[in-house]
Amino acid sequence: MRAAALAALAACAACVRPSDQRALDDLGVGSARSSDADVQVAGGLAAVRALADHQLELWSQAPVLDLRISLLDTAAGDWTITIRNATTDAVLSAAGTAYAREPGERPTVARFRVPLSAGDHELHLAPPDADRLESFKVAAMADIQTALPVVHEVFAKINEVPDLRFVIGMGDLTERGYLDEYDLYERQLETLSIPFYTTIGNHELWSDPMRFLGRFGRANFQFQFKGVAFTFVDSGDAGLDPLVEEWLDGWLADARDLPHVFLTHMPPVDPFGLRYGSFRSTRDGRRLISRLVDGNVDLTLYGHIHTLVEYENGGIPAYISGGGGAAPMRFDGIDRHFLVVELAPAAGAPAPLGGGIAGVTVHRVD
Amino acid sequence: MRRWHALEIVATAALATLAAPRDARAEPPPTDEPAPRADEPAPRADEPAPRADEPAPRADEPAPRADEIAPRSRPAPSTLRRVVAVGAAIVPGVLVRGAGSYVVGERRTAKRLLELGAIGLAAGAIGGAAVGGSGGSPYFIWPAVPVAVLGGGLLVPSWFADIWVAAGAERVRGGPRAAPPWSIELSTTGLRDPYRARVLPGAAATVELGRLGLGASALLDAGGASRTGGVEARWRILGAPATGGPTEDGSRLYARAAARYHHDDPDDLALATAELEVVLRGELRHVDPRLAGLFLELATGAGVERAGYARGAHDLGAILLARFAWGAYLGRRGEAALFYDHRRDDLAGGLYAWRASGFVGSVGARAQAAIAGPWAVRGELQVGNAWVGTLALCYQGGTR
Repeated sequence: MRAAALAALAACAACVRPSDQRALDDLGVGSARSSDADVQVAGGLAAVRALADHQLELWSQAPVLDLRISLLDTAAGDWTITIRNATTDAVLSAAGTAYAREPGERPTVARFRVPLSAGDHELHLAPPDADRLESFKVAAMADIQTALPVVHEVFAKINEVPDLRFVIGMGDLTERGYLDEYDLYERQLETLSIPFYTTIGNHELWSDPMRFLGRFGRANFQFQFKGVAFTFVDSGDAGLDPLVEEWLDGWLADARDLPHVFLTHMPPVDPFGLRYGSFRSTRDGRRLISRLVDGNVDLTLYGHIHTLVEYENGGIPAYISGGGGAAPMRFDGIDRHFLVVELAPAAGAPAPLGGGIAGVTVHRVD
Repeated sequence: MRRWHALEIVATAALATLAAPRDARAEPPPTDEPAPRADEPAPRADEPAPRADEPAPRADEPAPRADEIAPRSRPAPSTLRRVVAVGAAIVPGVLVRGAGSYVVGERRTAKRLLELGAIGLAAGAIGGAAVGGSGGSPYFIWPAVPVAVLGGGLLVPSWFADIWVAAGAERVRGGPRAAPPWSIELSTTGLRDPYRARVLPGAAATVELGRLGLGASALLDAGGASRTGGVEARWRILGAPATGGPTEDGSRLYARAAARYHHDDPDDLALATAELEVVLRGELRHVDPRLAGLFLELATGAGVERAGYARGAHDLGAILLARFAWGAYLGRRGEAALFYDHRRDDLAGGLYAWRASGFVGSVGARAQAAIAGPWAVRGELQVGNAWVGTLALCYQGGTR
């Protein structure tokens, strides 16, 4: 009887944390080990796609990567390190030596040949201006889903915007999370001239989410670029797992004094409250907003609702931008679109939206 | 004419509800059974009818109900037939309402459950199509979502009612009691959600002043982390007055206004809510006499919420209220119900619903029963984002 009661309690606990395993799976992303080599990506900011025979291949989820590679004698030699989804001007350096990209690849594929001896090595991948506090622009979008076959049209419009550094995504890349959809997503990204960093949405959960995590990287992560923090969290099942919230608390503390952009798929609270297109618990949604307020977040970006909504949550400027092409909302006057976010991290730089956010503009595709 | 029969049933139920006596004890038993139609079979010998051998009613008891289920003059269905009927009520009954009733020979009940389910399905489909087809456009959320939820409030309970009839549960033979003139309640609520495991002692009180009902409640975290207090006022539009005694018809319609304040220290969150809703309880015997002792509740409304965050920030938001329940009277001692609640701002929040997470509210079960004299117990389990279980001890004033 007691065992049954304990089992019921355990089942109850499992029911209220549907994404705990997915959060734990995130922790496995960004590291790999072979018989004579070990790779760790700081912050889990890249998925390790291959580690064998002096070859290392990563899919990057951030413009700046720090790698630690440990090799046994048998693994020493010239390594080919391929980093996909990299910034177009990324440079790899190790022990004070910068390595030039090998020619012949697309702009977002950085390939380096690096001589590595046995022992531990710290490698750093970053654009030359990664630490300079100066204005820059990124694009933001979400909710591609069934429009995956034609999303190259959106990417073409993004390519036309000058000086964009990368795209940040709020999830729902696929309709069902099928393998052939991820294949198509990756092929479509070849038409985009800048990298695409994204979390997942509820549609990635229709299939095993490891299909995304193992191939494209973590769903919960933070990186900093040119003095601006970008935090992505997974709200694919309409809530945050407590483990993710714990990570978020740390990231909020780390970026407390920086311009901070927060991205997740589901709006914590639907600005049109009657619709409930948001977290499954309004209280938990508001709990998150209170944390973002307390953490000095400067801009929140959401998807899930296939329209464009500009509003504030807890006084923080907020955008719902679900214009990636998925079945659009009717009667809202906008179809496919993306946002361009202009950031001004330097002290004294004009930032009309406050907190280093110089502006958010809407770019229509249709 | 047949195609209008479904509407006729709804109209009959609605009219019967609207015509429910204000003081049932002063009114004759309802005679809301529709006259036999030309295209219907003649009443069977086992149709519900007043029982000649019933003892005379006591002064504080309502008159016998015209639709009380009489003992069958034919042999009851065999156990095997009951088992088959329950199976049929589940599958194909989940799709074809009334299948279970049909198997036990209650063809009229089967037909009416089929029609009730069809109306619910149509309402759900219309509401769902409006929301889905417009991509969740704000122009369609109201009234499409309430229509869809209330359609579910006919569709799902018609399934439960079919299983009820197939299982022969009509032998429970319950009847309603009016709300007590006043009551006080002490409760304990257990909350388990992704972030919290709390025990919340609570207290509540109600008083009925004619058509006006007033209530107040409080819920405090035993660990001091949260405090919730609420007040509400109800205006009884239709239904029996709050005597606390047995009543002929438990159908009622009332409007409810409520305000609630909730403060959660770890969340750094203060929520103030004001809401208004209309609540209808209809007894299913108005749909078919074989469904006597069962009831249906439908409610919808809206509210506003002010959220106060850390550092003085705040938001204003709207909340949609829509819920339904299907229940049965437990003799004259109490009642039990299963329910769906679409709101997300309460302790339970919405269910993790896999692909539909975020769009679905919570489900639950509740029961209340008199235990001795004015004492009653109440229990409720609600499952959404959280599991919320409540046990309460109530003292109810009024006639017992």
